[in-house]
Amino acid sequence: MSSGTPQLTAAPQTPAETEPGSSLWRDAWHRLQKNKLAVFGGGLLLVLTVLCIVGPWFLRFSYQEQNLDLGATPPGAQHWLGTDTLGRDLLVRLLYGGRISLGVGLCATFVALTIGVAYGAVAGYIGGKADAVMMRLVDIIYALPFTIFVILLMVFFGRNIFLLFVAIGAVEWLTMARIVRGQIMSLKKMEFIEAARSLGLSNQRIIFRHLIPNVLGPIIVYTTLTIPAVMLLEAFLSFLGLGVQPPMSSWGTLIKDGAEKMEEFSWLLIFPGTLFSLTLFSLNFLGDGLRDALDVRTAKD
Amino acid sequence: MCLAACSRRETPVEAGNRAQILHQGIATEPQDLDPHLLQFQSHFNVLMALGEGLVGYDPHDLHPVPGVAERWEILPDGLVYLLHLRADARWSNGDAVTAHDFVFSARRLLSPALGSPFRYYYDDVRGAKEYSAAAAPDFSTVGVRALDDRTLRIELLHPTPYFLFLLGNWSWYPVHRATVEKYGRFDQPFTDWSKPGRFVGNGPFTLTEWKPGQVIIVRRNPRYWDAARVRLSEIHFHCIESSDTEERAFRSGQLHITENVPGSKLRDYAAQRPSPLKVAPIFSTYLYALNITRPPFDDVRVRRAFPLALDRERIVTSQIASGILPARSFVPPVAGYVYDGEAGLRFDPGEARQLLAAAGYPDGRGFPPVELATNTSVLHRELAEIVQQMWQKHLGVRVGIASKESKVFFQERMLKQYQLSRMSWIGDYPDAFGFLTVYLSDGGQNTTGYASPEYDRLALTAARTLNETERRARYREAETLLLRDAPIIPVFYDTGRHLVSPAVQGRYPNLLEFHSYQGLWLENK
Amino acid sequence: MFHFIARRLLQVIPVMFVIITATFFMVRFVPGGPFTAEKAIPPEILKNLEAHYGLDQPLWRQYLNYLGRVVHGDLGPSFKYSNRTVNEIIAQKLPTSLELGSLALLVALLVGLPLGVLAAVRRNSWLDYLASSAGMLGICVPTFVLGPLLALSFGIHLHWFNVSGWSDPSDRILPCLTLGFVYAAYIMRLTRGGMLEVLNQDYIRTARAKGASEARVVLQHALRGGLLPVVSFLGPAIAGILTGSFVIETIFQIPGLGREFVNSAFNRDYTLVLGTVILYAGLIVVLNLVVDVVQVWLNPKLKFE
Repeated sequence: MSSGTPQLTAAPQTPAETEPGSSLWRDAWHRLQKNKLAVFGGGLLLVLTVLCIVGPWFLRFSYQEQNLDLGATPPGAQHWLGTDTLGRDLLVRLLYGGRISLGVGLCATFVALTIGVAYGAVAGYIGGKADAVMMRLVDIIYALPFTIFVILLMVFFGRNIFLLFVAIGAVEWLTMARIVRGQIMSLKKMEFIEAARSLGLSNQRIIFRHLIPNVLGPIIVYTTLTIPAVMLLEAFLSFLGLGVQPPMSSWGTLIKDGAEKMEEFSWLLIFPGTLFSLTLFSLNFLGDGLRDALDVRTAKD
Repeated sequence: MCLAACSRRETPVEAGNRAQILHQGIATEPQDLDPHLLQFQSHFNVLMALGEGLVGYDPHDLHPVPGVAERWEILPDGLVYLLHLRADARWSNGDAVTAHDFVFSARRLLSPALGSPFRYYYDDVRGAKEYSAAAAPDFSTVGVRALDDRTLRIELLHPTPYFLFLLGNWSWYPVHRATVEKYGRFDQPFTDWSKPGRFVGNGPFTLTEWKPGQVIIVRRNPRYWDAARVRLSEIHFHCIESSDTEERAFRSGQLHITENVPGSKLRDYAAQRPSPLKVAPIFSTYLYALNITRPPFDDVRVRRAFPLALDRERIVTSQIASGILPARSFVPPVAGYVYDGEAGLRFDPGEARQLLAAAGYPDGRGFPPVELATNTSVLHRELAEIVQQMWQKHLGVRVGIASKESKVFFQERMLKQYQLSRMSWIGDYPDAFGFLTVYLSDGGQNTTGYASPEYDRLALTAARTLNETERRARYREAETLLLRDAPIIPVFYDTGRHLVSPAVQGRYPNLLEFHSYQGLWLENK
Repeated sequence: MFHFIARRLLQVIPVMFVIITATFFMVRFVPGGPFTAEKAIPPEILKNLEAHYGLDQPLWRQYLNYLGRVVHGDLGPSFKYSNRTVNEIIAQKLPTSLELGSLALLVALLVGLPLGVLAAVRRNSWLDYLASSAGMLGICVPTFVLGPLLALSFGIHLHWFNVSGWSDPSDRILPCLTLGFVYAAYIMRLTRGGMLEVLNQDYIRTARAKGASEARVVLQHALRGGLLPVVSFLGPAIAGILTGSFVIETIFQIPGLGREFVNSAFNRDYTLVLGTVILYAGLIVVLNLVVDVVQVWLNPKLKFE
């Protein structure tokens, strides 16, 4: 993560104010590098991403090339991870699927994260009537029927990869907003916030510089929970016609497919499942490391 | 007590075998057991336990056998049917089943307010269409009359060779007038008369219990005229929607018969000896419909090129298929009529490319992107992926696949908002017209935009020809025309696939999967 | 507090109104209707059916009619289950989902909370790694994989339980475990995260410095703050878990409401969609209110605003 990120979300600041922020992030970066598990997780994630992006260029098969005579075969010399029922190479389909799933998982989660954190923080900090209205809006969106919403999106806007993010973003930010709001509400009565307020700092500055960094822990934990949910949600959306369409694959659709055939062709579930889990474990290690590194209080030690 | 229960419990199937209780899967739950408002053909399997028509079906080859009617006469012109009802036919409450019950039922089914989707089973009856269109509100104009308590006279508009078969259909099942009218107007849909405790039927079983989302239980009806032949004491119809769950329920001894078999399990079951997997041809074709009102499929050369570029042999030998046969025509060759004309479907990529080139797309160059729409299921998707590759390879055209939510898919097909759309057709009756009727110009299921007066004339004349040989020859002419005009791409002839416990005796595969329960019993082997 | 709750309950009215209105019009604008089927229904019959259900009236009048009925607690007839009303369907199926949901919730809380607290307290110990990995596994293995796996091993291979159905008491075990584990994983991760956050706070350090026993520090001081994220998560999660799970109910053939939530949308069963949405919305609103109350109770510094 670059040290410039917080300035982007924060209000316009004078150069003098930027300085301590940068060093905070720089310190965090140093601490992160010392955390072996986090480095391992980050490294693995990087390797997986690179593999998914460049891997398909080095393989002999394409994701749609079929061999009907072959059908589903277990891993072997020809097809390292085996083939599916249409005789397509699972490895190349997994790598292509990774592009989709990593892309969707990370981007859509980022969208949800940004909306959820900002919304929850503002509602929690302002409180009162504004909070009531904002949170009732969250209640309303929770309750609207998601399937109908997705079908409507497609009716009015056609199929479009952008819609995928809208659809996912529309539901996944809600719980994040509620969690952040709860945390902020409990923090804003703390002495250091009172102090900041009495110093005359702007609300924006208090929220983004003092409150949010203090609730990063739950945010990061919930983010690592959101990513797998988003990847699996993508499979449901492609069932509705949004998301990847055959013969393209994604990890979600591969896992769903594999689950239906797990007794006969176990490798069709095992390999996508393993790759999916590996990614999530790495993300999680990285997330935990980030949380520790960014913890303002451990920093004081 | 617990020890006995926990160590190795007796499965429902084992217990059922002792007590003659059949556990059958029916996939989706019926919305109603009113025979005139049935939704899915598969629910006929429940109705057959609860009711009986004028004729029944032989379990082997489905030829009409005496039901409530013990005998019948067809006058030589083929227009008048006289059905003689048996004296001992009884409703489950003890009332006699009379010819008047059938007249009442016909009046109810045809009444505009009931809105039954099965009026077309009466289309050949004189005056039926006018009555249901409310153009002639007087039912005496309809050709269904009771001459006395035990004689029913039916008059047709034109000779209809398969009419006797239609009389066994659920739409011709009688409903008990007093019960129907107790819970609403006679032509009011969706009243409470068909609920457990109220339902009065005339079948071999009576409705005992209906646990929503779980099971429908029917028990042997001692008042049924042929009760002596009924050996099952109860049937439990289990509504298990997921075929994977249904298969697991079968494997763990909770079901005797499944409604479906998951595609990936077919091979393993087929390899077992003895195999519980029963695969048999049914009267059904899997096809892709073309929207011929819009480019590029408004050009008959393009329409002919696409089916020629399909290597059906490879599809049916691939791992996703089991027991299906490559389609050579639209009508499956299983109901006494086999298409052997000159327009039979074949695989000829060379000719396909020539046709496409003649249409202005040599090697697929300049061919607009087309979309193959399908509703989501593993089989539909995998099949679409296979044909997509074949068309790309042999024609050089790019076909996108769009999986759609079912209702969106059906709606778009109906409104012709598609280019290529998957479809399955199951004939209502084992006669070629059960298929050829679809693509009549005014056919309600004709979503392709195909309208050929010549085809209409050939198909309709054939359907009204009583002489078998002559009829088949005319069907052949009609089908040749249809295959040449190519509004559809038949892919394969479908099969019925079920898992059946070896204990089930007296159940035979047949073309429409109508399995009566009278001759069925359970026996441990 | 009484004022707070009363005011929040008053807010329910506009919230429900917006939800009902939005859902009513959303379902109507979706392509396909309740009678759209693979075999198209002849237009004249479609007309009769629509007249029977009042779908032939102008949309605004249908909307007003519906609102009028809902105010009287009548959710109307179902389109799919044609001779049942939505009230009947909910009354029949909700108890099953409630039973499944509360048992699963119990599993989730009993497994997730203690594991989460332990993992946080014994941070970076083998116990933490074990619990965290188990939690991650619970998140990586989706229910549609875990459910069939459990059914295959305990139902088919070991013959301990039925693989489908909901009649015998033992039929509850596999579905509740499957559903419970997923939520347990979430709860475990969130508890651990929340606890870690709190265990570093100054007031905990102060308590420790004063010589309070570790158990006392954790249970009396830390738990209150540490549970905040879980509590926020649990509001909507409980509403979801109690109204049933489509996947679990499908895998184990359970006659619950969860399947109706999803299927009613697929069936375009307008009234059933609205009925389930109203039920779910009610639960969401009430549970989020409970969450807000609990949050204040957990953190006395907060006041009811």
